[in-house]
Amino acid sequence: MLFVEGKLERIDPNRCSSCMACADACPADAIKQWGREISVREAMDEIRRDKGYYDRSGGGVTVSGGEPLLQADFVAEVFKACREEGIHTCCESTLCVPWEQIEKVLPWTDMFFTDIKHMDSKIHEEFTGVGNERIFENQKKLAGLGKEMVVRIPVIPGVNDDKNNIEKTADYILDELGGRVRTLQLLSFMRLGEEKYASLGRPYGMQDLEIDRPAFQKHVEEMAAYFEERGIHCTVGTREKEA
Amino acid sequence: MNDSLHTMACGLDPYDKTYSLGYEVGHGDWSPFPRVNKLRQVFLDRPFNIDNERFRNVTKAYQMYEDLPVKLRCAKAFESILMNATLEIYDDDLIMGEIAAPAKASPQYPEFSVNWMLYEALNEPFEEREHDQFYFVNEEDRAEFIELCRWWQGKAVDDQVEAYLDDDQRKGSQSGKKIFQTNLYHYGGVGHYVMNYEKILRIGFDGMVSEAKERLAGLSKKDPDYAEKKVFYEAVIICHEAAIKYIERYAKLAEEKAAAEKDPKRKGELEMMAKNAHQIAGGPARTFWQALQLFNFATTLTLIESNGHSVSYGRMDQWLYPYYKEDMQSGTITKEFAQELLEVTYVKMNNPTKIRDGGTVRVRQGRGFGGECLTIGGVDRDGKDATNDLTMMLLDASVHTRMMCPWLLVRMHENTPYELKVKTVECIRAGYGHPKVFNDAPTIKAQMSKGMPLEEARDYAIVGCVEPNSPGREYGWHDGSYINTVKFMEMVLNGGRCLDCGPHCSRWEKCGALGKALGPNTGSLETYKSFDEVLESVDKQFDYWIDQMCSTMNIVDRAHRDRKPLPYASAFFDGCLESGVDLTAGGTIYNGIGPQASGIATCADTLATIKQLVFDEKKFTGGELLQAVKDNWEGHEILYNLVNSSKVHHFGNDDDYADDLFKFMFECYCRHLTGRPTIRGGEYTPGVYSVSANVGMGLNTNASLDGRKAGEAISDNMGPVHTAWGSHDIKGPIAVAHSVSKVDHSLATNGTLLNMKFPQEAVKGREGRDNLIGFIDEYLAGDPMHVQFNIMSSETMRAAQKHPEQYKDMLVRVAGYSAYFVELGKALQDDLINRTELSF
Repeated sequence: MLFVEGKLERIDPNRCSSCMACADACPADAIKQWGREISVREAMDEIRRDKGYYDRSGGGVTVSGGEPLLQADFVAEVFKACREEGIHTCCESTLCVPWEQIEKVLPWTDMFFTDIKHMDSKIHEEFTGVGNERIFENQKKLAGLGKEMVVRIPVIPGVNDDKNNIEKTADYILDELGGRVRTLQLLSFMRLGEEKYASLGRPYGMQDLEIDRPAFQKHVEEMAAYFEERGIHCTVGTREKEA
Repeated sequence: MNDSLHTMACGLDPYDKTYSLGYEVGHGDWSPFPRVNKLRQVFLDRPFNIDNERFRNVTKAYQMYEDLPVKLRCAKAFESILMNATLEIYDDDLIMGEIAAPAKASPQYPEFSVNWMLYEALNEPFEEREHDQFYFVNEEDRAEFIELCRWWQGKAVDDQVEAYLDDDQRKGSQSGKKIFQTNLYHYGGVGHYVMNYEKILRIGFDGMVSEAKERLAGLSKKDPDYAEKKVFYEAVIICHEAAIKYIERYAKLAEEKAAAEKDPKRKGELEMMAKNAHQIAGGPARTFWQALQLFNFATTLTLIESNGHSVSYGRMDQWLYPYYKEDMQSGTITKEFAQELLEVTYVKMNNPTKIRDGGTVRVRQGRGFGGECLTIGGVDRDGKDATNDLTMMLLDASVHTRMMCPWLLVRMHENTPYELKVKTVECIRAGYGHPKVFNDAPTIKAQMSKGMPLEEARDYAIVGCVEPNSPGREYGWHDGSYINTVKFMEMVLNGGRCLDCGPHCSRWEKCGALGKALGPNTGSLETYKSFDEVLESVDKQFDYWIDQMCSTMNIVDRAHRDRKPLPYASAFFDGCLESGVDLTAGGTIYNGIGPQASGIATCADTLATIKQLVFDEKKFTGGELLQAVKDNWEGHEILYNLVNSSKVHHFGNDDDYADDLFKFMFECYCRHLTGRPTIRGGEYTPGVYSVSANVGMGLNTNASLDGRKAGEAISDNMGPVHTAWGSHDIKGPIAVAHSVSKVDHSLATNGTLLNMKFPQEAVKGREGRDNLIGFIDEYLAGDPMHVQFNIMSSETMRAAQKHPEQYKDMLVRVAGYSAYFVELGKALQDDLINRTELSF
């Protein structure tokens, strides 16, 4: 920790032991702990508070992350408990995990949210650090089992929004997944990560990207129209269009 | 949601039509009827003038009839105003009748008070106010206004009140330390009722006159109150015969206008308006149009008589329905024209304006009469859903006009049809602030606790903001007084003294300088040995101050009875004609007074701070906390940060620690009012709502232990605390809903109010609509009374960027998830703002 005039100025992430004593001592919530270890029972106590709203709005619990299936045993137990209480369960995952992990949650999961970042495994690896093979294998297995799936494409200008990749994505959904995707959602690129990267002291890879927002939005809408044309139900964003 | 009941009731628009999303600037064409858009614009462009005509006429009448008993003098004055009022029928209008002044101009009511009128006319001109300005048309009017005021000095309601008040009452009131503020009825008329519209439409003014005449004929001289009752009936007859003649004057004017009109369409309309007026001058309404016309005359006439605001329209979809149904069945009206008439009537409801005294407008802003609640939906007297075509059409009219009035309210219950929920939410997310939502179950329970049978309780309508009322049977003095509970807490902390007790205080010479305290000494933070002692002290301060307030209200109540009886209005209330007793003297069935508490959450978080830091964790002494608020937190930064942080329990997070203290405060307040008798034979009814008074009250309140600095707003209505440091509720809307529902709302028989803010993004799309419906369902299932929503615009988001501390709890929909707007970085905020604009 770096102190200036008795006040904490900066924390060196390489030396921080995550003891959280600083957050406990801070009277102003200037340092806050996000995330904590909880038991299944604690999770259920929290979930149960919103059961009324889930029932009335037709909603339920979604686990997301990070990558929730890195804690597949925990997710499985929470989902099992949800099932017993009649709460709808949804898992939002990259599916970049061994199939065994997915199998653990499968019996208690009503629905999956997953995504397709790029059809070309090499480009996929370039941007995410891993190839897409395992992800696609898992998606195909889930589709084969008839699991309800919503698939998203984070549309990143100049990376995955070209005609070739889009056509291949449509082919993949229709041929490999048998079209068994409830909705394909196109999520337009936002500079969401910028602040977080800065606070972690890491460089933000999309720093220099400039977007003509209206033109880009129009481009994404055209992509959605293409998927619809191919018979894949597709929305821009996560909301269905108004009546 | 799919198992909800359905309805065949049908408005003009499809029930699931989506309007705009969020507040939009610069639109004037919401209605499909060009006439309505035009009338709306004409209204908006009109100035807020001061009109002396009523002032002049009422003064002349009082001078001429000075020797008559007060009821007859009031009746003769009413007659004189109606006979001499300048009448106008405005271009394109289909409904006639103003409040004896040009549309949007404020008439004067010297019967209630002139001292402030005179003072302000001479020293603080109405046109120079920071807000709520009114304008004299010329200097002659100003001079006449001042001259008329002088004649009335000593004769008004407030003069009688002042003569009775003692110093203990005064020191807590608006003329003292503003712990409770009785301004509204101290200086103006009461209103806050729903007249029996069903009755006037059915029997007309002739019927009212006949009934009074029959009662008069049946009076016996053996009755010791013979003389008072006789005078009352005579006064009722004078008023209602004057109403007949007044409407005939409008009929004649419409005929003249029709004769001179060149355009054949407009000529036909004016002829029909004349015909309508002739019919309802004395007779009952025979058509939908006549029903609306008679409604408007009956309502504006009660405003002319009483000056009361929040005169509410009851369950309009119920009492108006027979006329709609009959005209539709007989084919004499189209749905489109019925809709146009409703919308014209809505625009018309905005015309009445009222100058209030400068002290009142500092806490209660707004130049309209205000509070014209229009109730729709809910269950009928048998407990079945009451939705009909008019329920939907009155919602359509609201979203087509988007004006201050009427204050539309949808009653909901467990069998509210899906279509009505969708329509309601479509209006809410259009972001113009209407309608509000009320919950039948706790409200019916509240009404029954006033002694009503179940069937009558089910027939409740809301008055003003949130006050449950039995139409035509309850004179509830709702909105009777605003109570600053945070000021009580100062005395709990500091031995009965204000925190800033010292020579700068206007009362110093008769209070602190003599070693006295403002309130009783019930202990201080330096002396309490246990948290229970703190709670006992709270209870004692409530007991003392509510005694001061209620005894003040009783003086005000008495002054209205003595100086300004309401014979015209009385005939619209069950019991008055039967008993021969005026409405102001307790003639009707339910006769309560409803004062409302502000700052309950501020008090709850204050108690949580004390309980946690002093008694549970023992991290600070009571003396240290007291010093911090005495110093307005200066030099106590660590403590200031801590009490505002999530490390201290706060109300609104579904956390029993703080929520139980909110419950304690809520129940303590209700307990001290419930069952207290009023002089009209009713009981006091507690309400927990502040409207916007929490801001003005905060200005007069020292720092508080919830982490609020001196002068900041105290907590609003039933809502959680928001200090300059930040919002105290950080767990989202469901947590707020759960916290608020931990108290028994039916104890607050004068109503509770909860405001909620959502950004447009959160309610966007089909999912957003259904989520809001689901949220309302879940909230209402916890048995709270009321909720209303603000749907934010991107302007609001920009404002949030400038003052993030005030918007800490504002949720934004980011992508697949929601986040708190102010916790996001500037770049993302900008992106969200841009995206919002893209979606329109």
